[in-house]
Amino acid sequence: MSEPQQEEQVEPEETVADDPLITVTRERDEYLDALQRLKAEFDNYRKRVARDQQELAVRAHERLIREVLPVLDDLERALAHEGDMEEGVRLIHRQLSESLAREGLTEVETDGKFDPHTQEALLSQPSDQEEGAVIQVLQKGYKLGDRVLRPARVVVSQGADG
Amino acid sequence: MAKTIGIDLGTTNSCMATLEGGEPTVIPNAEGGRTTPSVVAFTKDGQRLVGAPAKRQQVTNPENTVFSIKRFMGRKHGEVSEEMTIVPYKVDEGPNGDVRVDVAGKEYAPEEISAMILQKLKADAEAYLGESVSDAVITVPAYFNNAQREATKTAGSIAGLNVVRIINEPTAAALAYGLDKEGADQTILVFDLGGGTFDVSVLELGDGVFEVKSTNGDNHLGGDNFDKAIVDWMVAEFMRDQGIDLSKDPMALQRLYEAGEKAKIELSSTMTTQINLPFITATPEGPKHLDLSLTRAKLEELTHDLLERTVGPTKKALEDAGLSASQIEHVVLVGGMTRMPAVQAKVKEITGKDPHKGVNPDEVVAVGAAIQGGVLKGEVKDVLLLDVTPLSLGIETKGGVFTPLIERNTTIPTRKSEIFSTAEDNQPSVQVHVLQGESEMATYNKTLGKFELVGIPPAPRGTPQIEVSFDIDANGIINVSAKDLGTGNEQQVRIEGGSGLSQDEIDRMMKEADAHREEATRMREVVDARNNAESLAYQIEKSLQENRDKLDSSVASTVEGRIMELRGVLESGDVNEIKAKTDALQQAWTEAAQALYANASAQQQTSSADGDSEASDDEVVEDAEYEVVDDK
Repeated sequence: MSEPQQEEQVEPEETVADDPLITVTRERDEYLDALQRLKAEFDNYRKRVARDQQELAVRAHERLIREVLPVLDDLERALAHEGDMEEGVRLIHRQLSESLAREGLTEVETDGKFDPHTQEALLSQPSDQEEGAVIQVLQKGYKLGDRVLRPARVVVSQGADG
Repeated sequence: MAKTIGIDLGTTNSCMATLEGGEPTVIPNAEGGRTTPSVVAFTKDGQRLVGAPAKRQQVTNPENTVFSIKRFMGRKHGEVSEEMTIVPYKVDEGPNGDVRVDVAGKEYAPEEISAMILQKLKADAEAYLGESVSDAVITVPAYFNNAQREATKTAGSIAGLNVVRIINEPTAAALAYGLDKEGADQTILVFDLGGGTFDVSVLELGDGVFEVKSTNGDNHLGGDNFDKAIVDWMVAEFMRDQGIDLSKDPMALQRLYEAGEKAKIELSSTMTTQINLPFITATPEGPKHLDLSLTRAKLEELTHDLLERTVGPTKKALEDAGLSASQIEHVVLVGGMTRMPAVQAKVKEITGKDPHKGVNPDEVVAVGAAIQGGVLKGEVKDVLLLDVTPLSLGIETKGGVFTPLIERNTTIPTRKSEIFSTAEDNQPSVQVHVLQGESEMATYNKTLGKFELVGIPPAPRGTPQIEVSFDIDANGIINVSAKDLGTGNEQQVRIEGGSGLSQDEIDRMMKEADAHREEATRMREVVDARNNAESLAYQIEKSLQENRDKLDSSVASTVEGRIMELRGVLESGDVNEIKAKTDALQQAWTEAAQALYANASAQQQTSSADGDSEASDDEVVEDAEYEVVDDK
């Protein structure tokens, strides 16, 4: 493992104890060992972090799934129920929206001008609205924290004469 | 030291990676994506957008949204007449017959457009890494000519990058799998089915240098075609069932594409998947839902023709390289589409080889580029290419349990120590039995060495502190030492070649651990129950002796009886029996302790001493204890 490195040529002296080459060689071995150990420690640290992250991801899922399970229950109740269920479904929707909002989910704003950072244009159509305005939201978009989870799918105005 | 980044500048998507502590890591972009669409747009209000936002506004601004610029890099206007007709933006002829794209009233060279993509990648990498990035390795298709390579390099310079090397995409993919370390004269086939292009290359490795022997492919075959085949099928099915044509409804189409892609991915691991799209459209009679079931077989049927189109170029590449399929030693897959089992099966059918797996095929080229960057920087020093321990290392503890100190796959050199104690009162010595393996029980693992630490002064069990340390150096030499922290007495053993196992040996030991897993788990349960029972009986007996005078003799004798009963079943090996008797003892003692406290408070005495004895447990030391070695 000890790979010879560039060293100044030093004439060996009689006094072995003070031989700088021996000292330097010993020091070099120590430094290499220290470096290798640090590198190995970093590797092992990285492996541990990767494992922890995986566990964390699973735990995060667990929490979210637990939040959503009541919604599943209520949907099943709705399906078992005969007749008008509009009010029930409305409540379920509110429950799910609130659960997700608690996890940091927010809706992407679609008022006004088209914003490609948070919206995706699926169509561009002539309209009496100003060019570049969002004229219809086909699918809502969502952000989780600062990050766009899914852009809002919109129709954008081409202007009157488009 | 400034980082070098590896960039896969792709036709549809780009990806970047760098080495962190010698390991390649993909760098996510500012939006959090691991790949970035290779799209640049110039909006009407003068903004420049790169990546996902550019792609999202494409339909509102097709003539000023540039994608697939890679198809024009380094080419003359006269060479690209076919490509020109496909793209909605304007392609002009510039000086010297070069290509210029005409967007937002300005002419741009393809190099400039590519530079905008690279600039975004560079900026996002800097934000992610928290330091400036200047050096880059950029990949290009193996068939790129000099002019195309030069143009790519120029794009890098415009973006402010020092392009330290342009390397071939298939070479990068081979590097990502470490094939350069496999020895000389390797032949490698790289099968790259990307979003919009299909490339197959045959490489030969000699003297650490990859040589491209042949390339072939199809410039207009990729994942997009596969997605479209699924969507077309869904549209046709819906038309047949409901008589409604979804292909005219952009929102429905968007949902179909997403569902199709999801189904495609799911079918890589399952045989059948359900495609559910409620309220896909509405008619005067009410809403319509799409509910289809797609099997893997059906998917393969739908994409059969596309798959067949990969066969010709692959065979041609082999032929041009002058090789038969049997002469190919490695097959590497690139591009997300190669996750599809049918694609993998097709590659195996042609080459007769199982492809390398493990690196994400969307990222493998960028990863290889990052590795090349590290090599050029001298970051990957041989002395720092460290090994891992192939199997766990540890010692035998009470009851024949294997207690690992160093888990398998730990990078060496490393050191780990843990404190153990004695299992019996006045135990004069402990045996350190060093083992290697993955079974919970020592008997199924391999003995590396044994030694004894003697001269432990008489003390109650669990009291002596014996520090056991494992140290493995970079060459795999293991030093195991045991030190009595009370006396400073130390013993050690040196084991050479402990990690120098051949792959066959490692596989065999892993298999053996697997084969004995159930048995080992059962044995372990018995040992745990027994150890737990024994230690409880010991503690309660001790507390009982200390407090005997404060207890009713009937209560005390009940506890004593339970202790006897428990000790009577210890050797039975019946877990349920041991646990039942353990619980019975625990319960008897809880009652006794309650009586004890009641008495204590009645007598207005401080009960701290009793409280302590209740909690008396050897918490300071690990609960894994030594087996009895020498009790005499």
